[in-house]
Amino acid sequence: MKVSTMTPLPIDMGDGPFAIEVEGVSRRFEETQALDDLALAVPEGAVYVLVGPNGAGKTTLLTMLMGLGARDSGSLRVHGMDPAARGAEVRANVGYVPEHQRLGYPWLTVGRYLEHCARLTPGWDREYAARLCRDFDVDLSKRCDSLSKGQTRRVQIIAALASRPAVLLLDEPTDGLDHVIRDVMLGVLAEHFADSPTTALISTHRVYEIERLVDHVGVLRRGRLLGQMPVDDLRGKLRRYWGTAPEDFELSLGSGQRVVRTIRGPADAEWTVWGEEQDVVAGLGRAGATVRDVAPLSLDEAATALLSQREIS
Amino acid sequence: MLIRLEQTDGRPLYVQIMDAVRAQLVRGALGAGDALPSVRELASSLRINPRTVSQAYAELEREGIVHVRPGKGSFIDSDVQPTEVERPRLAREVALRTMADASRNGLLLDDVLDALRILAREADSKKEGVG
Amino acid sequence: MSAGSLRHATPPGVAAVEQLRVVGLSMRREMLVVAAALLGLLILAPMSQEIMLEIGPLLLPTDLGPLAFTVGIVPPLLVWRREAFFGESTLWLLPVEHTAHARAKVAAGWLWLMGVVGMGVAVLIGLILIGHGTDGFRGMVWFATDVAAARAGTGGLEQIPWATPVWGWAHPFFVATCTYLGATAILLGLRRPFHWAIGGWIVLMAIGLSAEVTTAAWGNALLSGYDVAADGLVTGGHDTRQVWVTLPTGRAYWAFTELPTFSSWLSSIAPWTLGTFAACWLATRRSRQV
Repeated sequence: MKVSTMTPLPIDMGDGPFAIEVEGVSRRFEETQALDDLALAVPEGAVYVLVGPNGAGKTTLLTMLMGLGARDSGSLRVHGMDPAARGAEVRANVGYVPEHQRLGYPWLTVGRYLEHCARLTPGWDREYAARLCRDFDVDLSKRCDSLSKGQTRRVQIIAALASRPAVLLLDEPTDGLDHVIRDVMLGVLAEHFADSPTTALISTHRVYEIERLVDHVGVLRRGRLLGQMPVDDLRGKLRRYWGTAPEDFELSLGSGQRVVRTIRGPADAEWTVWGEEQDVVAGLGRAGATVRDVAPLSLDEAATALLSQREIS
Repeated sequence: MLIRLEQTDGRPLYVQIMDAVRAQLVRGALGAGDALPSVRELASSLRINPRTVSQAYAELEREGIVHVRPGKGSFIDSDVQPTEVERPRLAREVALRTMADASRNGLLLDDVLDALRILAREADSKKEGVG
Repeated sequence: MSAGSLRHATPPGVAAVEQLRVVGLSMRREMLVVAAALLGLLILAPMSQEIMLEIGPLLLPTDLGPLAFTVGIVPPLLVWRREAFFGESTLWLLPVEHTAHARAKVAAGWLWLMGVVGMGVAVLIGLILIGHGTDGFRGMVWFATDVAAARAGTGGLEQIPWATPVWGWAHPFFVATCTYLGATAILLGLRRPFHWAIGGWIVLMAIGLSAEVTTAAWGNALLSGYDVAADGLVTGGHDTRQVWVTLPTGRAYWAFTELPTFSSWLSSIAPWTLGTFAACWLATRRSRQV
């Protein structure tokens, strides 16, 4: 497998308005640089998925947006508010599913825990919460510490959605959910997005699970953003080309185009290329290749391809 | 009305939804004046972003297949022509995908056409046999 | 969603009331145990003459200090159970201002603690009244006008009438408050509270022991030399005002060299209360940014 240089992907998201704006944020934990001059913007109303390997800084970012983590530098805004300075107001407008699966108080019943959330969360919609409990098949009389990982996750999701907040921060929301409940959750989220004006920032390893719900994607690696764009742009510009190519094939593409990955077989080849399709096909043709098929990548495949590029320093 | 999406279809979701509606028209499952599912219902049942459904409906409206009655939902337009317009259009989409599939497999258009003719003959003779 | 339709944070009052409830729930089991024990004592103790004699009369409620001291240490552990102070606890995810909310939680735990102490004091007063009537709060105390003479058996020691001072009943509440606030400050203000608490305890024991062994004046002073020394906290300074007098006859008494008064008690307990309150205030102010 031949590997090209890093693809510079688009970062600019236009003029907004943005529900979440992150500029030049860095955070160092002793040995590791968790966030490294990170810039990111989530347009209002977007369902933005943040993909990246373990340790890319996804959780650090989400925690920071909740006003829980300190930063070394940079600026952070949730609907114009800095979570470090106006944490309470930010949290009043954010529904958060944390990475960990612990419910605050093990000695409370699930019902009492949700009541605790209800009393402390402005805009809590009791009717909606009750419906979510039914949809997710949550037993309110159980003690919080008797729940399985998946059951805990369901309660966390209910607590995040029930107030219909302006922003949702979901850290691995499908983690621990079985097939049926995951399917329920995707339906619930689709309805939620249809019913409430919401901006969602979702961090996950399993993009394929929520692929059809998201409309924006950001690729994070080692605390830096490789790129962010509407999913339609990604599907339109990052494509896989199959064809045949002579032995001494040397590809040179124009500006704005980059080969992300090349896999060569004995007779044919597969190129994953960033660029306008007709330009790429023309470029491949000029170089002597015959393109037999072009296909967009699924979001999951795209993320994998982009993240598995090796960095050339 | 039941709309299904194929996991393996690489086309954008909104295009798939548009084609699914077209297919229902051609089959007669949908007709002039019929209501489409609400954006919320369809998004929820397909587990997709509601904006994708809105986009599909907006495109269908632009093509004159659907009209939106504010506050009431989306309905099949009374001027829709399932047989004359939508049928060839849908066939064209299917043909395009078939051609792409052929190309991917290293086949020429003629190979596929030949195969289709043979299949059609086989189907005909079976019908006669039954009759 | 425009900025205009954004929501405000939860009003602090609402959050505080809910904290009072949730903290009560987190302490419920332990409080029920205490309540059951007190109820049992109230029912069973009057059945035994000996126990009733042990319980009263009570002339100095400041004697309850050591017990209240111990009782005050427990609630912080219950209040902050499962709330990692430096971490992603439920508390910090709520739409409330962190510092104010931490204080609301401290206050909630304190109110419940006061309830428990109040229950204990009420049961005690009840038992004394059952066993001794109002005589349970009256009696004679030894007073040494001249310690040297008293020890030599040449007078200087007299018995004077004494009535249990009303302000004395405030003492257990204040001591429990001080230990509660102090323990909370350690728990919330330090990243490794248990290391600090155990380390601190060892240091204190070492000081006490070396003071004991060397009978050094400094050690004694640290423990009970001033109104605000350790004894000032535990007994409101009344130990400092007592001497152990062994008469040549072999009989021994605690005798006052100076009678405790409201102002002497206040000057002992007030610095501790203010000090632990300040420590707790600072500890809750500490940034919890992880």
